[in-house]
Amino acid sequence: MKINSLKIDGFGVWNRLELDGLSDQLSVFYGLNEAGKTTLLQFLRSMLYGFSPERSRYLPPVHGGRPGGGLVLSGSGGLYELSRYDDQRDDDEPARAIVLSPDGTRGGESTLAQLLCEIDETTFNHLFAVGLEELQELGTLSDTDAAALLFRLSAGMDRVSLVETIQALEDSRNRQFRDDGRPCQIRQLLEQRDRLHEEIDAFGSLLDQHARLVHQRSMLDRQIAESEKQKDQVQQEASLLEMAITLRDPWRRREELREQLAAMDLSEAVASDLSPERMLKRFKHIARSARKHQEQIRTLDEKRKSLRREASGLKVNRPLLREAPRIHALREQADWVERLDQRIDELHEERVETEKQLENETRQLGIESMADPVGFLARRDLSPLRRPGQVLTRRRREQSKAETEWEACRRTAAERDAEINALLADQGETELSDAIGRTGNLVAQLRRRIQLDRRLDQLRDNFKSLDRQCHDLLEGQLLPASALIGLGLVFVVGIVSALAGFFLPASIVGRLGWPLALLGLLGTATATTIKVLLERTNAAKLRACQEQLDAVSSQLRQARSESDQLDETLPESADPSPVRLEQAEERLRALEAISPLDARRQTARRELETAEAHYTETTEAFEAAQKRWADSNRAAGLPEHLSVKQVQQLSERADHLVQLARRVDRCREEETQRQDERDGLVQRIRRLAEETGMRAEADHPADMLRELLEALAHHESLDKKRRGLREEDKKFHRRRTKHEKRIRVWKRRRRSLLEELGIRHESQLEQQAQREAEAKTLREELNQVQTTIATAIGPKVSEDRLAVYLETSDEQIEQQWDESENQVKALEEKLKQMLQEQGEIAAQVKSLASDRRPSQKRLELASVEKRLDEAIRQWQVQTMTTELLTRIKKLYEKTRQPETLQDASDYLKRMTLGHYVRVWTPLGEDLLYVDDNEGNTLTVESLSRGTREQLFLALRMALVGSYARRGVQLPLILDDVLVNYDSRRAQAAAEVLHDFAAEGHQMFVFTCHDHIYQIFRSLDVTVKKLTRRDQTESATEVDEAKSKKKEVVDRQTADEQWSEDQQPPWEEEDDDDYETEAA
Amino acid sequence: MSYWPFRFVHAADFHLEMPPFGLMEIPDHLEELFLEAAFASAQRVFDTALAEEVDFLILSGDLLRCRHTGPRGPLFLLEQFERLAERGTAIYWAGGRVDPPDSWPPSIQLPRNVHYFAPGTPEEVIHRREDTALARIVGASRAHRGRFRPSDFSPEEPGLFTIGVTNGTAELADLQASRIDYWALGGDQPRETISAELPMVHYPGSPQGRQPEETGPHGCTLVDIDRVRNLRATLVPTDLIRWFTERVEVTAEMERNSLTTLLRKKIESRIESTSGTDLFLSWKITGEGPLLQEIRRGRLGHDLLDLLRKEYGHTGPAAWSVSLEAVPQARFPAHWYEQDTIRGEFLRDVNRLMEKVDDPLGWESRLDALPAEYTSVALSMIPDESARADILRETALLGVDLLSGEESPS
Repeated sequence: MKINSLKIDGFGVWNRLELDGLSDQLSVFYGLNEAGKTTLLQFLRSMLYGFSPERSRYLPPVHGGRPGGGLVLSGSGGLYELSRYDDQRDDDEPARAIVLSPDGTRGGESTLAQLLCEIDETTFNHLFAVGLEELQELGTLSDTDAAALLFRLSAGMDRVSLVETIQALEDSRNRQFRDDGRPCQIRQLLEQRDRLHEEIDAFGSLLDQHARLVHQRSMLDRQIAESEKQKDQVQQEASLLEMAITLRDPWRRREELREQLAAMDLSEAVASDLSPERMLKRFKHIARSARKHQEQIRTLDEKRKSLRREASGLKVNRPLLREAPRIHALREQADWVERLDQRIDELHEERVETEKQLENETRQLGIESMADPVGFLARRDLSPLRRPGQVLTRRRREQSKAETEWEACRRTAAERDAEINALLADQGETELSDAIGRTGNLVAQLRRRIQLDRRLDQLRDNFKSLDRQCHDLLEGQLLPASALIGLGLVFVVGIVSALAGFFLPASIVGRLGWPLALLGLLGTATATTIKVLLERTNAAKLRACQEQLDAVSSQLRQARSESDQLDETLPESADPSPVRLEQAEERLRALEAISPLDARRQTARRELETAEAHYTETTEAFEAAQKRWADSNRAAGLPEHLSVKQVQQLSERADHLVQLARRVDRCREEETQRQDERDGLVQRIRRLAEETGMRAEADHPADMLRELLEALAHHESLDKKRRGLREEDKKFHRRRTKHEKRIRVWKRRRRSLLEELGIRHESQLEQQAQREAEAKTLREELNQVQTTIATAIGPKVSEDRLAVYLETSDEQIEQQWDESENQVKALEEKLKQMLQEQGEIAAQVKSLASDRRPSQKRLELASVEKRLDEAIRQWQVQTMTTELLTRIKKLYEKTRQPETLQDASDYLKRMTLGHYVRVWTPLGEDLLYVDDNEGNTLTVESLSRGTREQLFLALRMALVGSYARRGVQLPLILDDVLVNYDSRRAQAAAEVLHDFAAEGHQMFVFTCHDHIYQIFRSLDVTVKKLTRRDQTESATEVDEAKSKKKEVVDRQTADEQWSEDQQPPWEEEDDDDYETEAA
Repeated sequence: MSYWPFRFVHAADFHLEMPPFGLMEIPDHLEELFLEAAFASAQRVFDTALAEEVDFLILSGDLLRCRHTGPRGPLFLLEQFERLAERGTAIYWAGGRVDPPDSWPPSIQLPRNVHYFAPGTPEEVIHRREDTALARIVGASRAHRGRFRPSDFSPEEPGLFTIGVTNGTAELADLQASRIDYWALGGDQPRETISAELPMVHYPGSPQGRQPEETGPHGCTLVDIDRVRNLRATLVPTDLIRWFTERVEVTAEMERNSLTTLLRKKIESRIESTSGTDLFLSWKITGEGPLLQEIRRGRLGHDLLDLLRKEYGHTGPAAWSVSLEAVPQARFPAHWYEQDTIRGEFLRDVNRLMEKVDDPLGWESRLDALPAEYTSVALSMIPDESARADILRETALLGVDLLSGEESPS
């Protein structure tokens, strides 16, 4: 597939751009930076693979137009028209491609994919689009990484690197098994699994443990039952003995009481139905009642005396009580007085606050020094100040912005200086360009010196070899003895045979005489000829060898001389030349790495100068605006020092200040009025106090009123209390009379009771009651003792059985009881131990029965085994994937790499003008080597950056060629790939590209470098010059003089064109600058 | 002819020693559930027998491996047996692979209502209600390798309804040819009625699903035999944990929110239909489009899983999402296989291996490269031939992922 023409309706800075008749071989696009080359490149990608998110930033088009465009493509079936527009940018729907086939049918993405030979975007970007990014990336890689990258290129390239993918898989797979400092998943899981299996196996002993415990428990149950039975028996006997000991005293007391009751005489009695005790109680009740009333009378007398004393002590102010209505009327005014005071305070505070606010605001506005600021504000006119104020504000903003920019530039420049100085200081240098020049010369000299050393070694070897050869040839001038003997023998035999043939008779030689003579002569001649030839050959060889020896000797002298001359120019050093070369190259690389920084430093310095000039200009403008502002203030009657902001505030707040002044006056007037009302009320209260004999201690009317009210309330309460005391005295008197009546009644009842009993005094009754009480006490004690004995014995034991023990002596009973107690204690102790043991066993059995550890471990094991299965499955899949990919890698290395390397060798040889002749890789090794024209084999690491880039380009071209042979033909796009080549190699590379394109590969080369542009022009290549972002011109149509105009001229031409069209929005800044320059 | 109707519960495969498994991590709040699931589901079997007032309970083996449960397992069973003994319910138990009669601990005495069949020659027991014979139960514990001869179980005299109880497998024809009316079988088989006609051949399965693959309800079987020997077998669910595999199809246009809503609807519908049981769901996302790729290669799968677990995994009952994985299409786009690229070469290689099913993949040689300490486990890392297709499919996926970069197969 090739691109015949393109049309951009709107994309980035381009609109309505049409490029027809694109060459199906090599097309070069030349334009300065920001001319739109990258936009053009991205447009091609967008057309072929859609508007990806990265490329969406070119939409919507800067200059309008329908977003998108089209291409005319030539494929195997003819011309196809591809168009793609992103009309619905708000939707997520991607912009679809429309392909119009030669037969008129419309296709979509699938037709386009066929035209692209199913090459996806990733592969396209990796293979067919070589840009500055890749070159920059290659430049930043370490030697090893760069070598690896170039090797991977030689082994074929796809979306991803096969070598890297296999390596990543291998690493991941190995991590599962090998513990290289990090946790190893499968190992950990296997350890966990084994540990859990061991723990689960150990749980098997729990059943045996349970069986043992169950057996122990049944044995113990039997023993406990027997011991409890024995203990019950002993305990029963002990309790009988204890009972006998306990009841020994009550038993004897019961007998004594029975005897005492039988002996007591209760025959005498008083003539009454009631007992003497009841009668005595009645007499005591009568006497107690009479005494109680007498006590009440005494108490009442005491209280009445006390009441009279208290009443005489109460002093009441009668005039005050009379004026009570007036005082209460004045109390109604208390709230009003408070409100009056509150209002006066409020008015005072408001006035003071407003005055302060007014003072503060005039101070803030800077007009406190004015004689009558409020009056001024009431008749103000600040409109003449508006224009000077706006100018001053704008100038200040401009100056501030310029200052910020200046500061930023200064910081940037300082950082750049510091960065480069630090790097140069590391190298022991102060000036970069000198250092690079010196180091470059040194590297070249050292390389030449090493080459001379190798040449000298080679020449020496040759000289020695030739010397040995001459010596051998000299020795070979005399034929060896064996040859001489052999030739002599042939010669002698020949002579003898000839003589024999000539001179011996025919009877001896027969018919063989003449042939024998001829054979003899032939042998003699042959031997002589051979000898002469051998001697001449040896002499010729010796001469040639001696001539070579002389030539080598001359070369050797020349090389030595050159080497000595070089040694004189090189600085002295004890290190061997290769080491010095390595050091020098290292230093040169380090210095070259600083070069981009130096360019950035120069840029930063230029920006600083521009920013500084701009700052000075804005400062002057600002000062002029300040002066005009001060004059305007003075003319308006305001202080000169007022700022724009203050005047703005003054204008905004003038009405507010006037209102504040008026509010102060209002507050003062009302405050005076309220104060007069308050003074009148105070006079009325003072008069009333004097009339009631009171003295007003307080000054405040509310306090005075409160004092009067308190005094009134006090005297009213005194009067009330006095009347209450009088009433209470009367009540006490009535109660005393009642008590006297009751005492008389009780005396009459006592006399009638004595007469009824026939006694003269109550003492006779007391004696009889005492005897009956004694008998009763004895009976009660007897009952208690009987109850005690019955309770202690209980229903199960009879008194007769107990009597047996009570008949024995006390010592015997206690001895038997002690023995029984001891037996019980021993049995209880034993039982306690057994029960404790039984409890422990029960707890253990219960613990075993609820032991969930086996389930827990099983659960844990299941999780571990699941994870292990997953990990092993992952290993299996990774292993299978790795093997398949490795097989593919070997296949590529076997079938595709040699072909690619052969092509790459040819391209590289031409690009390097025959300096490097071969690119190759050892069998089975992931390494790439390059041979130079002297037969030296170099690793990729030892190549310079420029040569690596040439190798990089050669490999890409070889791969593109490889794809083309397999039917995948797509345009190759190169973006400034020749930028780091020297002029000779750039020329050579351009020729290689030209020839490569001539083989049928369509190529687009973008460049911003004039010398590259000139090289391609010299090769008669179609060059399209991107003069501005919205226009193109074909270089073949531009005359030489026009194309070499300076940039200023180009700019003016462009400005004229812009003035005719709509002014592009992205050029506004330039436009402003232009205006400034024109002014 | 009229018979006495009766009913019994048939259960098997308690496997008290084995909690549910198949999760890489058990969430803390569900650990207790996992630990108790096997025991609690077994207890529900006994609860069912009591609640349904059955005449007897048949246990077809593989109830527990005593050495692995510890005393907790046999004591738990003892307690359940005693509960049935109080009600006079008989238990007929044929041992399986993990619970042969000699594995029962001698220190724990079985109650008198339990009849534990010995292995070998089947033993015949007549089950009576008061003095009336209801059924003949012929049982034996598991035979060698689980293969038994149904003809050994045939009763000598016909008449009574006969139940064959054992653990293992036999040919269906032999089972049908025997004079058994109901084959009560067990032995690590999912719930299945191999023959619904008389003689009915039935595996009740485990009362609790043990791994994500054992989906749906699990329980015991309640068998009713009426007066004319019509037989009805009903599943009584007893599981505490119920596993489900939910499939959700996404389309190329579907957005993340739509997928989330769809998952929520599915899970809520499932909760509603299985009230009271804790659910464990394995999500399989099928279909096409960027969402599928995001789940496979990005974090969307993890995010959705976290969301579902957070929203539904901590409620009572819980609906815990076990996994959420994208199931890719069976084949990649056809033109990928045709491309002259590394990926195309790779896919063609995988295809060749898939087609040549008879060629071994040669794992033994690969294991030689493992470090020495893995020699003991190396054999366990050789996959079964049955896993060949899965491994190759996953290999294709991994390779395509690695070789495609960001390109999607859509």
